Amino acid sequence: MDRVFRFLLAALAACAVSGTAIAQSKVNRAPGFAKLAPGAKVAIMPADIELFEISGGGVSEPRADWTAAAQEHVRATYRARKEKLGLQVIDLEDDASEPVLELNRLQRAVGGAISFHHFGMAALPTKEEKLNWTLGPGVAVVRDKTGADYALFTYIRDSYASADRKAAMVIGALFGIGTPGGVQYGFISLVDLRTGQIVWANQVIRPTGDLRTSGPAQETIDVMLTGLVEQAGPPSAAPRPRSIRDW
Amino acid sequence: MKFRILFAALALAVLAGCTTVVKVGPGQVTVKDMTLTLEGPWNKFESSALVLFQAPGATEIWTREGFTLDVLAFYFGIGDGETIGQALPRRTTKMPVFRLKMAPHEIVEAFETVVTQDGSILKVVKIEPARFAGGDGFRFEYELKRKGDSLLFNGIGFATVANKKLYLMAYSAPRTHYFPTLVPGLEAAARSATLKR
Amino acid sequence: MLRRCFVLGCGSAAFGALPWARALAQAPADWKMPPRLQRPAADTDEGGLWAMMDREEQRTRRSGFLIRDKALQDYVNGIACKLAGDHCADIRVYIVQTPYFNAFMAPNGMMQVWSGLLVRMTSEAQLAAILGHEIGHYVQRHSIERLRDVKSKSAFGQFLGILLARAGGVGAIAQLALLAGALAYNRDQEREADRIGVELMAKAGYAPLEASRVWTKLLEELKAGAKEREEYWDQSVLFKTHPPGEEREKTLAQIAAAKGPGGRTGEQEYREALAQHRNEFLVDELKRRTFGETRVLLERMLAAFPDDGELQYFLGEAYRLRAQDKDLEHAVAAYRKSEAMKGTPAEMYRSMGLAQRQLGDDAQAGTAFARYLELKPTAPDGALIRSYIKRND
Repeated sequence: MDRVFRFLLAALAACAVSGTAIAQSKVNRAPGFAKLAPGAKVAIMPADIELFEISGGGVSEPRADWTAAAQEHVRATYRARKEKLGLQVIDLEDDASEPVLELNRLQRAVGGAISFHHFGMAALPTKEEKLNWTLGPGVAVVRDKTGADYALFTYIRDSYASADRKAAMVIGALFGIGTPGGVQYGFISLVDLRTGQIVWANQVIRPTGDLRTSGPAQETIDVMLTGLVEQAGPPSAAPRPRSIRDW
Repeated sequence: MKFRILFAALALAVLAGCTTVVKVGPGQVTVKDMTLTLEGPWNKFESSALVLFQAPGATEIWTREGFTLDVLAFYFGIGDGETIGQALPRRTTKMPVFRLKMAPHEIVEAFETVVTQDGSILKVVKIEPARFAGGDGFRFEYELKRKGDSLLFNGIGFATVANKKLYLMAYSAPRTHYFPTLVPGLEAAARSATLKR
Repeated sequence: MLRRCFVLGCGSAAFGALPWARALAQAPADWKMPPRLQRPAADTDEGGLWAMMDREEQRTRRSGFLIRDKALQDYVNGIACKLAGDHCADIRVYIVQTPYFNAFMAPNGMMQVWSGLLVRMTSEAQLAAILGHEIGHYVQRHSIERLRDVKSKSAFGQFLGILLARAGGVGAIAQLALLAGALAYNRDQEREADRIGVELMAKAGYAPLEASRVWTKLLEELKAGAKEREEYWDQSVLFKTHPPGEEREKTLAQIAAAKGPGGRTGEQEYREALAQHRNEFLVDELKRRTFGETRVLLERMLAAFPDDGELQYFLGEAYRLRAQDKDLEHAVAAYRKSEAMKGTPAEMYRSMGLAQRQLGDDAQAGTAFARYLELKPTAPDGALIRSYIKRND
């Protein structure tokens, strides 16, 4: 069981007051990071994705077929973004060597800390609202294997209501009972491979989004990358001055 | 891998409102009857529910980088015949009981029982006499493999029996980068501990 | 051979009383190993099941609890291959460090063997019985047969959900076992797998009678643990996925008897193969804190290897760590017994000292601690042990 994820969802469930998405007023950038320089090499780490189906009785079953499809769509989306945005994207092949496994495990734990304490409701006063976490020197293994400047980690857990479940939701609504239909939780982080510092991170929790087909999968990734990369067209000629609030 | 929102909500049933974390230090901080003089600030967790996952039944839990990463657990003021720690939800393992007669080796065995309820594997690599909180005590170092995600941790603990009570503080952090970076601060905090004996 | 028959009572009239058991024992000798399995199309139900197992396999490969020791892997793999014949090429064995009794084979060819099972076998033939049984499920494609049996998707989901919720979060690998439990084979399938397992064992030259010995001894363990257990399952979590039943033990005994005597047991080979890991697995076993079961396990192992000082030491530990009623006295007695045996670790003296100290026997404790230091002059806890001795003076 993904202990980190369970931990997070538990806290989120307990903290949710109404059904609204959790407000994101937290900064996405680490102090000192402005944006990805054009020509920066970004290694796309194999995405950690899991899709579930919620049955009529409210039980979540992992759906290997949906998950496999989602992984393909996400991979394709990143490849497509590469062409549009002039970044060099390196597709890191699935690596099960011990240093990479250990790095991935640490990354999940650090991502969990950022999710819970930075974007979540349990802010650590010592962090002073800054995004200030690192993966340490272990990132060297990725830098050595790929020659990249940054690594992008993607973590998504997504659930979808089955037909039975949807029927239950409709019936429930008749009696004023809200039944959760499914939640998409996405967490993306960009790591500086020279220092190990997490320079940018974003978290999306919403009841919409669909990774099972190509178009909506692209939409999900675009939403998650909001703020890191411009979405359409070339960058505007005169960027607006950055205010202190952007940090 | 699965959602278990229902289970989680149940486990956190005591959570009233959201998690609060408060700053402690720098300077003097009191935990139970013990006073620590901190060189830098730490984060203290205020809700009892999270305790269940990371350090079941601890008196207090602190962290610097976040509870999924480093955890400082205090098991302070445990008297003769009192339980050390707390069983995780739906676990039926009996929690160990502190006895004045316990040798340091046995106290560490008890500590291990408490923190490995979830199937994590703990290995003690060092245990030696040490001064702690102004009296005789012991210090131990350990390695921990967390069950849920296989992440490897290094850990260090300090303990003493004073006024017929057990005072044990244990700190663990990921062995890559985090533990070596953070342990000096922890050792300074442990050295600063004082207790009226 | 005579001793085995005595223990299992083979040839006793009682077994004949079970009609289906008799029928099974006379099962047609014309069962042939099916040809190698082909990966099913991705869009079929079987394809979906394979895909789910592929993901679990990926997770297993990445797990920090996977035992990557090549020697042990090759040994277990070797046995599986001997049994599986042509299917050998399709089987991938993973040994996982977790103290529960389990081995299973997923429809995609992944085989998992847990350390809690390995530590409980006392012969190669016993392990072969388990592996042969799992290979039986695999070649007969019981998983997909079972999945199709399940009436509706939502019923399955609820069943799965209930099982998973009761798991108590032991980790992703345990989840798979529970998934296997959710797809739990029905009794006919279990019997078929038992039959095929014995068949494969015999063909590979193992003593088929060892198959029922597995269950005999495990049943003892189960009963011994009954008083200590407060699990919500009505059986030990130890055997969640392979519930041992008395009838099963008898059936296997009958099938095996029908095959005739003879065959290799391989006690020594198994002992040597497990030697590097046995200590670690027994430490894990103690940590389960179900000391009744642990004691039965150790006593069984000692029956097979009466001069094994390390086993005797662990038996002492099982008493010392429980520390109820007369446990500490029993612990000291157990440690004393180990002094004369072979391979007793120096740590035994440390534990003896701790137990004697708890009993108020400070002089004896001091002697034991001193002996520990003598045997292990560079012990990492030497300074602390010396402080125990000093405290007495």
